[in-house]
Amino acid sequence: MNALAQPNSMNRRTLLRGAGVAMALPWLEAMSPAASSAFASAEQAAAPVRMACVFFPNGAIMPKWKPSVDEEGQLVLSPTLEPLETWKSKINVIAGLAHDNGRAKADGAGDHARGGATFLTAARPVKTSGNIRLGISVDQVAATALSDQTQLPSIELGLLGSRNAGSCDSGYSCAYSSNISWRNTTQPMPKEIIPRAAFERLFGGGENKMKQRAINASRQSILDVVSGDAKRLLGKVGGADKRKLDEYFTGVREIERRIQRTEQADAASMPDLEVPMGRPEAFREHVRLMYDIMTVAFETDTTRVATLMLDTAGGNRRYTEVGVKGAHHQLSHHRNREETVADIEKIDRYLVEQFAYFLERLDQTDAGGGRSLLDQSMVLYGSGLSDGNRHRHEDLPIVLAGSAGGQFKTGRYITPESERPMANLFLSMLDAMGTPAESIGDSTGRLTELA
Amino acid sequence: MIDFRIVPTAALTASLMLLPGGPLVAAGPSGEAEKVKAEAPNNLEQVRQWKQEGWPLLQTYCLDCHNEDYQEAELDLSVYADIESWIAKPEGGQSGKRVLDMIRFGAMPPEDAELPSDDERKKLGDLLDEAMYGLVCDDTVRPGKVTARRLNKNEYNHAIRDLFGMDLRPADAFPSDEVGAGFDNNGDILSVSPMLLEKYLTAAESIAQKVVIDPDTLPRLDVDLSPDKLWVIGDVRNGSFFGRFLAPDALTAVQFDVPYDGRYKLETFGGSSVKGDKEYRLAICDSQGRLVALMKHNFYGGGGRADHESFDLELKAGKSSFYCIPIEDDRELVVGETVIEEAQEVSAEALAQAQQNATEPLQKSPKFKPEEFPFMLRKVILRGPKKMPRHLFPPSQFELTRKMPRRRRDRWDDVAAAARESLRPLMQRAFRRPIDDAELEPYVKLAEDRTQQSGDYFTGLRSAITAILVSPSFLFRVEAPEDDAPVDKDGNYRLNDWQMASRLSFFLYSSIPDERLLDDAFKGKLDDQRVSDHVQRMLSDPKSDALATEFAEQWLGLRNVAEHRVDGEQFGAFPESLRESMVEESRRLFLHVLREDLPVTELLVSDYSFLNRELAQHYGVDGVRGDEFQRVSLANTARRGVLSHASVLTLTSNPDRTSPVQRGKWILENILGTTPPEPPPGVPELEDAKHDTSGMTLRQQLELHRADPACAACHRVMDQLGFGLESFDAVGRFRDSDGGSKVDDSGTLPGGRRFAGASELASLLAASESENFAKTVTQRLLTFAIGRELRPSDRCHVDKIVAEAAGEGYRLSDLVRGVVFSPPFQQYSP
Repeated sequence: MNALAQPNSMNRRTLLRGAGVAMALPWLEAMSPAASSAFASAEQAAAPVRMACVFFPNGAIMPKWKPSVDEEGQLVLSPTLEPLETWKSKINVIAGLAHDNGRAKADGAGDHARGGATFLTAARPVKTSGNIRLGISVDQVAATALSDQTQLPSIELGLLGSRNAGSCDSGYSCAYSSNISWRNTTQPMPKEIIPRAAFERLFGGGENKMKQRAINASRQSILDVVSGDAKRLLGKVGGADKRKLDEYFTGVREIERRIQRTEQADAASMPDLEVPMGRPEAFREHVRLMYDIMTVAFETDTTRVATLMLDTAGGNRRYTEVGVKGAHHQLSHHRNREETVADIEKIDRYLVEQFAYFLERLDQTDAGGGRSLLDQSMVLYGSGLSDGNRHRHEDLPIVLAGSAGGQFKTGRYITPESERPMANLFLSMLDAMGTPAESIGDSTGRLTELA
Repeated sequence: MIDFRIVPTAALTASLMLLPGGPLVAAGPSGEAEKVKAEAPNNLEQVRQWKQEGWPLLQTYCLDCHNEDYQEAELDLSVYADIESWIAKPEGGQSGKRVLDMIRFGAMPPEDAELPSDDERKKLGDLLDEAMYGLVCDDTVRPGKVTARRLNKNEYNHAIRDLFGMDLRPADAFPSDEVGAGFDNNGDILSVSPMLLEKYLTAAESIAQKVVIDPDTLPRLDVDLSPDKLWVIGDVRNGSFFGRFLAPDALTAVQFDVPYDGRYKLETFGGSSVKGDKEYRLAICDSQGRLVALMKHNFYGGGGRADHESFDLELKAGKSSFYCIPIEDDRELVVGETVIEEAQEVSAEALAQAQQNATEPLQKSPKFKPEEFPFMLRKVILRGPKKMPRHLFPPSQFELTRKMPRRRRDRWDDVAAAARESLRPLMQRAFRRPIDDAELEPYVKLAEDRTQQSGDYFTGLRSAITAILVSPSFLFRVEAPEDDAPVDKDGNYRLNDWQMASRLSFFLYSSIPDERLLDDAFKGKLDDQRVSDHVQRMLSDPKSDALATEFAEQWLGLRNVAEHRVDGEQFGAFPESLRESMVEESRRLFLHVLREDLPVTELLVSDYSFLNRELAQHYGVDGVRGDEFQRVSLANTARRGVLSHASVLTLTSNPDRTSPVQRGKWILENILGTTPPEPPPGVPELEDAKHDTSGMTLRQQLELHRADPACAACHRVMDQLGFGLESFDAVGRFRDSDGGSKVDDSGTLPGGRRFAGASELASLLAASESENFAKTVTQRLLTFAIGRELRPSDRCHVDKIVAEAAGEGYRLSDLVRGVVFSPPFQQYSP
């Protein structure tokens, strides 16, 4: 019963409860977007693309991260990326990307906060502990555009909650270090860190259809009443107060949309994923559950956009399970001491091993049309810093897995001739999502090398 | 050795290097900057002075390295020539504050450059300060505006507790709140994501389920003792339908588990065995033989029938045994008085035997003569209680069902009237303001509709309660003027009475107003005197412990202790209970100083503390027993005040060793109210340098570090403060040696103020920095109380509060009261 006890057991597979295993395939077909989305255009419905972004803190040991290319132009993975070998042909490793807005300039210290803040926004965080200002993140651009396509526009996951004391990094609000996903310039998207809660948010608590319908009816009438209240209030306030009430309205609308979708289409039945209650103690178990949840969320097309923070920017987790005693951030200032560098390498590789599990799960899952879910996705994996020792914001460690439904040529080590804004990659990703944007953060164009 | 030459003289006297406005944040980004600018049109004089006297100084000492062409640290100071337009830009405000910090702190210029004299440094700092933030604290009141705040997690939990009297803690499942300006109740930072709104909805549904219940759904006793369960003492025959036919001297015993005290209904089924026989009385008596119920039975009816009688009786919770004794004679029987001798004569053995017999399957007896067994008992039933005891209901039950609609099976009549009566008081408390009919009706209608749909009033009522808890009027603290609200001469609104009540209770309780406060507000009686009385009353209410758990914990950074990890090899287990005890000690001292009306400096110099056994053991203090915290004298130890609390000492340490730098920085920020400027880019954290200097003591390493002019200016001050606490290790235990060397806990503050050890450091700070400390506390209190970052114009208010508290030596309670009576707390600009 407890998935903790058997991390690798087969009961983690996504089976179908109630209908039985034999019914799995027909059900999946029924759950494919064509059936569940009344609004999707035929083209999108045929091949929805998913976007996942995974953040790790403190950069990486770059010499051990960077892959190479053999005489035949084949990607040769590095020691750190070696766990991805099985999926080598389905990933791209991209060099030369930078977050210029992460650099200190006149703002001084706080590279970790800026590294986290810029990671998906490419925007410059205003250095403040109070009046936070950043920019919309790439995942939220896609989520906003796709919001009427799926049950949930996006999910934001993490392994650690926000720190709740003072500033987190040299005068930057903790909001910058704790959130990579930003709905707009002022609103970070908080993360769900309890796997069980994330799962229930996606799939409900296992209520049967009748019960769910009753709950929906009740909720709809409750939302009608409180929307009336909110409208009345909105008439009385201005400025920043309005913005806060707008956030409220957005939330109400999103729940309403969800209710309507459940009523229209068959609601996603519950995938048979064993998700324990509470927060798993072991990192590996915790992160794999989160990857599982992202997989089933994509598989059931409950959402097409997901982010995951493996740790807060500048995070100080201890990875004793791979024999590293020190804390991650402290170690990342390794001053080129051999032992410390080796410790960080172990952590880098360990995190990539977990990422490989995600790719495995995605690649095992059929997305129809002869493609796996991995093929149908773009999965960004990386950090907002490259060299954590010196807080570098260029040549970031970035893997982009999946071909977004054949739109990206994979199996390559992409090395642009000169530094490119990471934001250019975001624009290319948004194109492939079918949600193009004119600009994001400090973008200057598309990342042409990717196409 | 270390040279203190460049510390500005100004800083040598009253304050370290901290001048008014230092910690106040510059104009925020974008719109905020303009707002401040517009608010402060009266600093033209200061700008003129800057151009005449300040700018030349900046040119002389700073522009060599920070000019348009050569921008050391990417900083170009030439823009300060035209200070008004620079400061008006968002980045200008940020940069200006940093420049000011560096100059004041003595961090720039570096020691190897040409240095301003102390007077020049002070002058440069003051002029820049005035040019940037300068505004005269005149009669114009500038209270500022607080952005609508949603309840944070703790406020939500408290509000639910206070609304329903149940500590359900639903918000524990919400995502963490982000922190702004040091606190998690900042209106600008707190936002509502769709995920959070979903959680609000789910939480509200689950709360509504718990706060009012349908009495019919409560489990009731309904025990039906069939013939085989009756314990028969004496001769008996079993009929065809298993009636127990008793011989004239036989009797029956029964036993029930009564769940709660209350009125129950006992029923007996039986009767005389012979048709036409006289009426039998069946005496029901307790195990002492006292008559508790009396039944009258006629002929049982033959076959499987039985004559049926019932009797209501009061029972206590627990096991209840009764004897059922058919009475043939016509003795007087008075319920509650008569004692039945037959019952008293039953021996324990006979009873045990009867009980044993009842475990056997019942066998039908061979034919017998009914006259020889004149009374038949078939079964005994106990049901109840009739009215469920109060304690089974949620505390809010009776409030929420003060009026119930009439019920006819699944039909409920007068639902609206009942709902109206129950919902209005709840809404007024939840929304913290009077509710008019127009606002109430949609909720009443919701209750009505949902009752009709579900056939259950409780379902309807719960839907309305859920809606109340999801309404923005509950979730947000919106302060909007009423339509006819007057604007004062400065263009400000005064909070109306119930807005004031909310501010007060969220400040002191981190929760909704209690009934007394709300009552006064509704009656329009919250004048200054009443407000003052309420403050007094509320501070002595345990709910104001929230000032410790919400305010002090965040001000002092105590919440970081929970996540703090230590090196187990050196410090052994560091259990959660110990961490919690550490924080509790600091909370207790804070509340003590607050409630005993002591000066804030008592927080620094108290020679006693509040310890439980675990923490006392940690401190090596004998004689403290139990988990309860108690006041303990520490007069004969080195510990004084919060600086030597294990909580503070731990949270400012590395896992494996102390960090004088962090401790010094903590004192600067939290006690003296100044944030040390950041290290220049590219400078490694000192902590990381330790491996390169193995063999040196930490103190020697730090001194080496300060040999670098770029580092010296700031570290000189920080490290010296931190050295004073060196006699406490990384988890706050006393020590006299560190790694074999004797601990040196002496230091010198600017101005040559020498101290030896934590106790002298604390006294020194309390004696010479009390005003600064009071100012810091006031700034933090005000920030927490109004939920926004302080702005330059708030300096006037802070200064006033502090000045008014000076007479009594800056009592903490006076500062709290001062905040309550300050314009930013009581008024707002449109």
